[in-house]
Amino acid sequence: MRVLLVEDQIALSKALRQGLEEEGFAVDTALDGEEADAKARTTQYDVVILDVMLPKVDGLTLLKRWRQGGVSTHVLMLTARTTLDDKIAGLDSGADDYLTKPFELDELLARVRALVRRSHQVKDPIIKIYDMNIDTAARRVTRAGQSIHLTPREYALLEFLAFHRGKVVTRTMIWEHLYDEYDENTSNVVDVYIRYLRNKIDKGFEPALILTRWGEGYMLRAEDDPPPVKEGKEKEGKRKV
Amino acid sequence: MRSTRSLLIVYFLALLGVGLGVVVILADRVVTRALDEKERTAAEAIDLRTLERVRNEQEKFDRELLTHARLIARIARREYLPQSDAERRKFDTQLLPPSYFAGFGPTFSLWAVTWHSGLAQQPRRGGSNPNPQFLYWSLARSYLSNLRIDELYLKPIDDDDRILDYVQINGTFGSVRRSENLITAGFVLPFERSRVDKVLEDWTYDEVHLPGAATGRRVIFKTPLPIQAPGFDRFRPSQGRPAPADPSQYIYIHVARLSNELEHHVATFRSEAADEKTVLQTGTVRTVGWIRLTLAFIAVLTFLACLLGSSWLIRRGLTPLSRLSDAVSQVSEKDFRLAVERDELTTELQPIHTRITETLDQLRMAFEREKQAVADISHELRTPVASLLATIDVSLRKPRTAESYLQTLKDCRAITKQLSQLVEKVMTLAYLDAGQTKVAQVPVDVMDIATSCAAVIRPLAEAHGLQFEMKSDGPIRVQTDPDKLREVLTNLLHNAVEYNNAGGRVELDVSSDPENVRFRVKDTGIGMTDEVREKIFERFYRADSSRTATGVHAGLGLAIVKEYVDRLGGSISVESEPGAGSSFCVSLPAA
Repeated sequence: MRVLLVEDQIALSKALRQGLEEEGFAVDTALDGEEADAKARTTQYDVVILDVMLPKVDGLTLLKRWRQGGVSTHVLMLTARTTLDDKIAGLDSGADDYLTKPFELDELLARVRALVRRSHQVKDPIIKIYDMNIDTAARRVTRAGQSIHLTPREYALLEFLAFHRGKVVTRTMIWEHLYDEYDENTSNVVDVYIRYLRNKIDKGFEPALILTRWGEGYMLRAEDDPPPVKEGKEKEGKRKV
Repeated sequence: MRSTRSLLIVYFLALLGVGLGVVVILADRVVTRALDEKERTAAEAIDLRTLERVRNEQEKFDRELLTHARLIARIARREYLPQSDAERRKFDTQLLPPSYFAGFGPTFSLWAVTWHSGLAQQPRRGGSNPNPQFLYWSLARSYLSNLRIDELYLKPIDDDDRILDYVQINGTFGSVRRSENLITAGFVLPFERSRVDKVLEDWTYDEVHLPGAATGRRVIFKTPLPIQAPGFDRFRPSQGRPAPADPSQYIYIHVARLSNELEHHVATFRSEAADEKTVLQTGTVRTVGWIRLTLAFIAVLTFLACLLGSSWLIRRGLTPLSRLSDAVSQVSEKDFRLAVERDELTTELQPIHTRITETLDQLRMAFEREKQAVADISHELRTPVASLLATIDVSLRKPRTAESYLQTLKDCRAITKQLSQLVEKVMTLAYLDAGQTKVAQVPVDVMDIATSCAAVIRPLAEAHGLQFEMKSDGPIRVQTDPDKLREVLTNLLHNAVEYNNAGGRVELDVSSDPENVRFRVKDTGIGMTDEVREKIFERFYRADSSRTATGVHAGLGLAIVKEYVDRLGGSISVESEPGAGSSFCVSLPAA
């Protein structure tokens, strides 16, 4: 998931960036309003974390401008102003959430995750696909009761596919949502990560959940697809026993 | 706490009560006095009338007595003649014809006695011889006094058949004729002729005792009774002798009547008068009572009317005050406006309104400043705290390398240092505001201070690629607080470096005249607009918010500078031109 972090305090920006990246987010940063504006208009972010007090263009003005210009990215406002009026002003400008400084990093991350879910119209934090459960809150994945360890980037890829399950996701989409502006890898790296992911979640399980659509991209099997091979399940059951 | 309205009403009613009381008492006095006067006059009138009635009654009484007496006298003098035969006969017998005493034995013997004595004395007194006429006259004089008058005329009878009068007739020569009731009672009305003659003209009244130990009123009527003795005219005294004195005798007719009748009348009149007076008094008392009741009623009515009226009027009069009061009570920290217009109030309240509005404005501004300051401070403090927290949180999320922790600690130190500087500045301002900052007065050479500041700034300026220059006129000694002056100069110089352009200059010019010491800090930096220049000394004001990233520039430096310069008794001014640089001038007294 790709996040734009707009924060003029360098120390804070640095810390948040590290925290978000370690959670598997791709983070772009902006230090002032103009930079943020430019970035938000050119890239499709999943979430924007926006400080209110910004040099050049302040957060509220920026947000209003975006909303008027049709930028519908979910925005988490971040500010040191704590009065009710400030919160109301923030939410009325079109913010989706509001967090006051100082804050707990966990809370920020939870809110960002919630916004990501909302941006993909997912309410339940646990996504179930066949026998696989993706707990988007705890960032844990289990398949057939077995816990599967994923790196943040692998998890982000799986989550992204899960959010779009049943739909083809192109390499470019994956690339844009999982990698930040400074990543210099090509989109080939997506294939590499898909392979890692298949090794972890599909290897040894039936049916295969990650499908390849040649020439288009990848797709996570949707729940309402006809169950592919009945025996596969039985086989799996047998093996488990 | 009592309200002004009720106080006013109470005062007004107290005043009204006293006023009404005085009026009522005065009215009562006047009315009572007038009524008393009227009553007294009426009583006097009653007294006068009673007196007159009594007098009339007495006069009537007396007149009756006198009339009776006169009647008897007329009868005696034969002026009144009874009309009927029977009466006349009776009347005739009453008169005393000569024949009556001519053949009357005892009379004759009396005559003889009288003759002796009379004859014996008369000539002697007259000094001449007696003659027969004289003798006869003397006799007649002696005996004609045997008065007889019919009892009928002596007793007028009233409607109740009561005999009213006691009658007694005294003759000149001692004869007495009494009415039957006197005779029956064996009572003789006292009569002293000599005493009576002294006071008597024709009649006189007096009080007498009457039979039955009663008192009565009597009239004594004196009337001459001419003797018409036969031949008396013919037998004149001889020539040469004086005619004898008029032989007419006088009779004294007493008519007495019990005065209890009169007293009864008088008592009746008196009691009537007393009754009338009582009625009058009762009337007066009733009138006074009624008037008092009326007065009380009017007073109570007036009081009630005034209570209502005053309540209404005072409420009305106090309306502007209560509006002002309402408006003032509506003032809150959210809305400092007074919810009433000045023109809606009375002229007395308008200055108060003006004053309150001014005060509220000042209060609002102070409140807003305060709110702004708190918001600014909290904002300034929260941002570094958030950075600190986020840095630590991130670091603690998973095990890291030693280098990573070292970096985190360095970051935290940097943030904490910013925070500490900020807190220091905020505290400095707080102490300044609280008046807890002491200003020392030490004799110093300001050149030393300027030089030491320059020594600190010079390397910084050179690091920024700036040229630093210091000008001075040699040592300048003044009394001031060296620490604060150093703070001021360092701050200004820091700003001059911070807001300068690469390759620019920073100048510190110290000069003095007999009155002031001037420090001029001049840079060739970005300068500022007039708008910015006006606000540059306000707290948390930043000309360019993009510079906030460093955290040191919370917009407090120049505010502290200004406060310090004020405390040192000096002044600070700034000249600037956007793009050309700024020049701050601090002027301190050279005392």
